[in-house]
Amino acid sequence: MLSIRNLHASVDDTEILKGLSLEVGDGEVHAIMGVNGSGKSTLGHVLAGRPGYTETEGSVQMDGQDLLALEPEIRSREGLFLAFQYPVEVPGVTNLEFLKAAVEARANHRGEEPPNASEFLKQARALCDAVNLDQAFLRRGVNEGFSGGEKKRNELMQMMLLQPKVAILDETDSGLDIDALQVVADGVNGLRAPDRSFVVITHYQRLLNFIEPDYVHVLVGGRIVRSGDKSLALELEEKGYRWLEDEVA
Amino acid sequence: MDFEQLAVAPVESPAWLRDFQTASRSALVGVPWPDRKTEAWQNTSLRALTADSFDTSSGVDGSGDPNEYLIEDLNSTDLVFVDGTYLQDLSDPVPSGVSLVHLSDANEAEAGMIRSRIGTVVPPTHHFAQLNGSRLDDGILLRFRGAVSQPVRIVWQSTGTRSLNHRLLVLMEEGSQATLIEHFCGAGEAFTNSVSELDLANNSHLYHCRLHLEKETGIHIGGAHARLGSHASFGGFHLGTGGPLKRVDVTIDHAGAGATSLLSGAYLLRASQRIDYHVCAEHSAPQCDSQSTFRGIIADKARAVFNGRIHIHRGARKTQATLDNKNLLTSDSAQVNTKPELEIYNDDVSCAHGATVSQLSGESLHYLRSRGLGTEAAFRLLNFAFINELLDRAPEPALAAFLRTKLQSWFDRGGS
Repeated sequence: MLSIRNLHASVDDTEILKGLSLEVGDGEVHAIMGVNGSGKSTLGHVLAGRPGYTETEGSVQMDGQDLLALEPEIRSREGLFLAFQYPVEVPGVTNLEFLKAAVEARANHRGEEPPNASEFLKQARALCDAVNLDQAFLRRGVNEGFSGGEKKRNELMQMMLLQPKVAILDETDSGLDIDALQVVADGVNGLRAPDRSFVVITHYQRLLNFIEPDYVHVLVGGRIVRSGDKSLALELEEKGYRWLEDEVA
Repeated sequence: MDFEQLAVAPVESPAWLRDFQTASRSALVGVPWPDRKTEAWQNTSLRALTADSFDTSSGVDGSGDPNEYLIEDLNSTDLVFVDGTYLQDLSDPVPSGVSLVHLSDANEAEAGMIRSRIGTVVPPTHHFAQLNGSRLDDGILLRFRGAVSQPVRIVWQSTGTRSLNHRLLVLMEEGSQATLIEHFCGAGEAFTNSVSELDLANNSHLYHCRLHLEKETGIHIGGAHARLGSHASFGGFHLGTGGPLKRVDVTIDHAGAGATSLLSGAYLLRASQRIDYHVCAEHSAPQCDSQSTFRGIIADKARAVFNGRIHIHRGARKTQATLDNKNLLTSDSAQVNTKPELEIYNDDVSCAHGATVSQLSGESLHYLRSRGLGTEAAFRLLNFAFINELLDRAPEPALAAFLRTKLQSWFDRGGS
């Protein structure tokens, strides 16, 4: 589903990713762990096409397509979704308008009929309930004045609406209390499907108790230095990251 | 040109009005015509005005087009003026609690009241307002008593090339409440000089909305000036689209203790249009709050001027005043001159003042694109949002919906 090969990427001429390779098969959940500055979030941004993040070498394919050749909006319409670590506030654009525009853009791109206004509203309301957000949030500005947890749940709602092929969750657990974490995990687990893959970026093992990964990878200095199953996360929790950093050095 | 020469009183006015015309004219004696050295006009040229602009005789069409000012679902009392003439057929009877007096028809008591208030709310240094007074032949007084729930809308439509001299005096009696909309529209090429004075007695509340939606051919110089008594509260909303020359002065004088005002405004310019808003919060009484927020989107080669002033007088302790102006330039040739002014003569106050000129946030743009919106759609949505935020403050949902449609059509016509 997602094939990353020898990816190098820079931010402001500083190389952050230094030859990252990762194969994510259909329906798999991969966790990427690492200390701050190891390149976890950069990976998410490069995949989503954030301006200022430049890939200098390597390739990324999604479903056999050259992902990096596509504009950010085309990547999204083709099925990539990045849940932002820091969702952006867009005052003046209501959540509902925003979600509708996103769904319409995707439907038009795929030559499908977008849902009519009342169908859409019904769906959006149901999703609010599913992520435990008051329906009044649909009428509010996108993320405007939302708490940290509300922003993350809003990201989750967008993901549920857009039904991506590949979902990248960038530290979606940060700033969440245990109840909110459960809501987010339920949302993700409910979306798990044979034709949908997840890359879960996190600093802490805690999230992985809720979203059980098939594979765990450790990122150090812009490369994956160790891969394993979920037991690797527990080992990290016990020994800390220093152990692997030392090993790599 | 010369203010004194232009200050020609109409023939046959009643004595009280002649007295006002003369007083207005005397304030213009020796006042030089504004040029770039005149501080209040240093960024706005009056070159679009010619001697013909002041012709009050020609170009009256006289038949208004109600479709042009239709606001769906707005259940308002409409008073319709076309080329300066009140059209009773297109207008509604005023509801109870409101009295409407045409200046030319005022009886002795009404005339006395008008004469004692007219010209006292607008600052005397506003020379175009004095010019308006010197040439005044008619206008209206609106008095509000008690709570008037239905909004009153004055439609000022212009169809021809006749120079127009609108005057409105609003008296909010103690404890009264009202919503007033001034809706300027029309495809005329006239020069309009309009002065609105809003006098709020103690504990009264007025929401005043002034829409400058004339076609881009019209020239407009005008102002809306409010004076607030004790614990009066004032809400204001301005929307302006550009033209060859448009200048709007807004002053709010917090004259009574505990008065509050919340003012918002937006301007939208494209092609080589101009607009100039001069906004001033005067604080002469203690414990008053004022908040003013204006935003502009300037496209193509258009140019906006915004001057925002807070003036806190010696006695105005415990004032809280903020004034904020944000501008979005959507082309490299678009321009804005925004100038904050603070003049404070009391230490015990809290003031904030901000003016920014920017382009759209790359972060917001990327966020929208990451959800599948194309660059153009994302730009439009964000530009729209920049102004749309302010519309939430409109008191009538139907009015907010109308303004959103106007905003949308502005963008649809390639506003940015």
